[in-house]
Amino acid sequence: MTDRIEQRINSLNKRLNSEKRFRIYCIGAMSFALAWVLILFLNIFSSGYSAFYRTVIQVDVPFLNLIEDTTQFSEMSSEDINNLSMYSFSKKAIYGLFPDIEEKKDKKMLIRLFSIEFEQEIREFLKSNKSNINETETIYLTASDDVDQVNKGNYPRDLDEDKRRIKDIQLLFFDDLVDRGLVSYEFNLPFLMRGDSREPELAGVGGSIVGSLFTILVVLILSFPIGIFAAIYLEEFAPKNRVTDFIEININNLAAVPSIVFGLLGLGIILNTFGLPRSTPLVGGIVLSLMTLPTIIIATRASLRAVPPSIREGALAVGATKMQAVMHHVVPVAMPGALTGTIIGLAQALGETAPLLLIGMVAFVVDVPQTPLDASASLPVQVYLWSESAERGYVEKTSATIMMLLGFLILMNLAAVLIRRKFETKW
Amino acid sequence: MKSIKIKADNLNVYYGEKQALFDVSMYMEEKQVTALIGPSGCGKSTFIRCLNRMNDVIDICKVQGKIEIDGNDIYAPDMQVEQLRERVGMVFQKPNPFPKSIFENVAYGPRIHGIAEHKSDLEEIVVTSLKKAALFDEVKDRLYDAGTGLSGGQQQRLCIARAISVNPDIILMDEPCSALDPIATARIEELMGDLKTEYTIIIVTHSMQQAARVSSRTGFFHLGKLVEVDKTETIFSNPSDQRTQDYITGRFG
Amino acid sequence: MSEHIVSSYDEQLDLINSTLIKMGGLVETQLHNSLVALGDKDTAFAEEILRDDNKIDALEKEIDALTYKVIAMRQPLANDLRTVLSALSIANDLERMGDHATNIAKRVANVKINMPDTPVSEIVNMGENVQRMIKNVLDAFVQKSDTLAINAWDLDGDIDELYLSIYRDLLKTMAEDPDTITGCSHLLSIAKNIERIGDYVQNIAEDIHFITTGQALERKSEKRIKWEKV
Repeated sequence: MTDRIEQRINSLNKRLNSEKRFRIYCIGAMSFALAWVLILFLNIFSSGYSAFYRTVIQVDVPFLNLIEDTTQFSEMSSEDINNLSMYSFSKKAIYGLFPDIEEKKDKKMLIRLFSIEFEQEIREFLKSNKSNINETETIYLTASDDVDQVNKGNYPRDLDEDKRRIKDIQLLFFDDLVDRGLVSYEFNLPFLMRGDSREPELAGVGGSIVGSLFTILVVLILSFPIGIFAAIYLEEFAPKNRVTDFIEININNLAAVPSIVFGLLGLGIILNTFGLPRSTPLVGGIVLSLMTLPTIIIATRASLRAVPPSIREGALAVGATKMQAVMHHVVPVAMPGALTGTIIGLAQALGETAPLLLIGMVAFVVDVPQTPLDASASLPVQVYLWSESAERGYVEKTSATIMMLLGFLILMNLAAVLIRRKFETKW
Repeated sequence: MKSIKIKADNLNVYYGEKQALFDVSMYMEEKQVTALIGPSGCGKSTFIRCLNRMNDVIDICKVQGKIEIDGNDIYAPDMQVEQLRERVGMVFQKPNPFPKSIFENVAYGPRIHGIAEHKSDLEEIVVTSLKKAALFDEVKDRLYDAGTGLSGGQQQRLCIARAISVNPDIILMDEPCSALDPIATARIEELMGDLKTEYTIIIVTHSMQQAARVSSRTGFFHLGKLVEVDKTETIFSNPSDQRTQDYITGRFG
Repeated sequence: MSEHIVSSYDEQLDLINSTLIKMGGLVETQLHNSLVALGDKDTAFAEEILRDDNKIDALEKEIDALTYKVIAMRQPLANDLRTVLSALSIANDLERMGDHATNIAKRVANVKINMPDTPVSEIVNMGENVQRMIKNVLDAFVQKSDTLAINAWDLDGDIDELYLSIYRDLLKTMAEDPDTITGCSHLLSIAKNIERIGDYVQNIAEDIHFITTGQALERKSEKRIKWEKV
């Protein structure tokens, strides 16, 4: 008797131990995955956050040198200001930082501390403040990428001079400017507003954010109604026969098709046959819709199927038509699920790169697109573009773009969760 | 002898290849409760679902034979199924209120049929239906709360209110108490006693005692056949078919 | 009859049946013993069998309790319901039969008087017929046979006829010899007791008919009709 009890206890201990081990494996697997996510986030964040700041250098611009009476600016139109010749005037304003420099070569080096658009920046300042310009104005001009990187400490100063893009004399200028308190560090609003540029310090994600938003908008407008209606038809109205089985299988297959194939389809049919403008969010949206549709259809069907049949029967039994039963009772209950599926589909589309490369959304676009018919980049393509660029400034910008992309994805998934929480029906 | 409300004549029902009902012929009297009993899968639910053509929903379901309500063939080509279901209400096994307010649950039927012209008419219908379903007093202060928040028995009475809101002649009940506790069951049985003064009720039930308590006639189904239909008293004291006796005395193998 | 799905239900019904049969057997023995005591005029034996009546009464109480329990726990329907309800009435009838049989023994035991031999043997003969009826009706009950039950029922006609003839004989004997009046009137009662037992057997046969068919037995033998005219 006691032997049997002992035996039982032994076998129970064994089972309990194996359960403990199993739990440890599971926790281990989860921690491993979590660790990678953390490493990824840390890596991206640590290299990307600095892109949200930029270095500016304070320059005193003596507008009197340009015009006799600064009040005259207020009478000039933007056109007039654009026509003003300001190049040498701007350069002189910068030379004013170091009046002692005589050599042309050194002067050139000084100018190169600034982004090449310094003249434009001064002009813009003039345009927006034309009504009250003083004789001398202090303007913050964007520093060049090299200076920016040095300022952020990303640049190895101890390399040999010929291995550096920034020269010794420029470093001397820079250190002096720092000592004089003329170098400052500010939030990089232009990064969020501007389009792409060949100059890292001037490049922004604004264009690709707008491009991505336009693309997603097109995807939403196209795939949401089509997906919902297709799902409702297939789930509620279609007769169950071979044709619908075939359609169902193919929708499931479509969800598994590699996205680059949709890109080829877009290139072959939408661009070449229908002749829609290439590189545009419209075309990108159409192509991504094809990719998103199966996701939306499958998610919507699943949530329609999850609505208890008793609800349909209840409606039919009081004499509702099939359509009334579906639209009044089934669809409202299934809607949160369908919306969740749609948002997840949209998030997928937002992060998709390959098909966009094929339809030309990989083009270098400086302007922020105004309509879905303007050529544009998108966030993931921007990541791809910048990750290929050599300049050091693009490294942080690549990471920053990824951060933006992840931010949008997290926001969308959060929206999906919130919608489900809020509208989920309790039975 | 009461007048006959429903008459089924040689009804055969098939689900694809499988035949679910074999030559069922029976009648149901007006303003009486008719109970259908039998083991699971015997075809009693199939039969009751033929009476408001709920089987139409199932693609593979084929119905042969004739069902007449007040002498009209409900499977005639010119019969509108929505109109039929307005006259033949149904209450299901599991309470299935819509995930909407109590008011909306009851108002839905009259609204889609355009029965109420004004909002006040609709309110009156809702109140009357809830009263008839003996639910009004319990919910009058929370008509706009979710119907799904009620207890099981209340939900089932809400479903009964929903069924009578479109003013049917007939109410079909498919095991209406199988998910309810004995007290809620007793309430519904009591309610059926009141309702039969206005409506013809057909109830499918697994509880022999329930059939015995509420019905005036009882039909016993077995393997898709109507074995016996007779006065309830006779069925439960001295059925004429051995299978009926074996079933009601708990000997079914 | 096939078995119930719940076997303990069957066990309870079987227990009621077997208790009834046991009770029937006791009643049959009681009558038999009483007749033996009467035939042998054995007062001592008669005294002895008086006590057996308690056993019959105890069994009746047992059956009451069993049926009560089955009705409360199983809610029997149809033939089960008829079986259970009939068990109550059969037990009651058997108890009455037992009382009548005991009454015979009581008269034999207490009344130490002269009884004329001829009517006694006729009465014993009649009693043996009734005893056979009891046996038949118990067989009918065991086999749940409507036919056997009706056969048993029909036998009562002969009993009534015998009773009528014994009644006449006893009246005649008393008229001829007034000394026998006391003895004969006791014998008259004994004959009446036996006749009553036969009536109870008919009741039981009717119950068996009700159990098996669900109908009340509506049957009156021609002899009974004749007797009612007298």
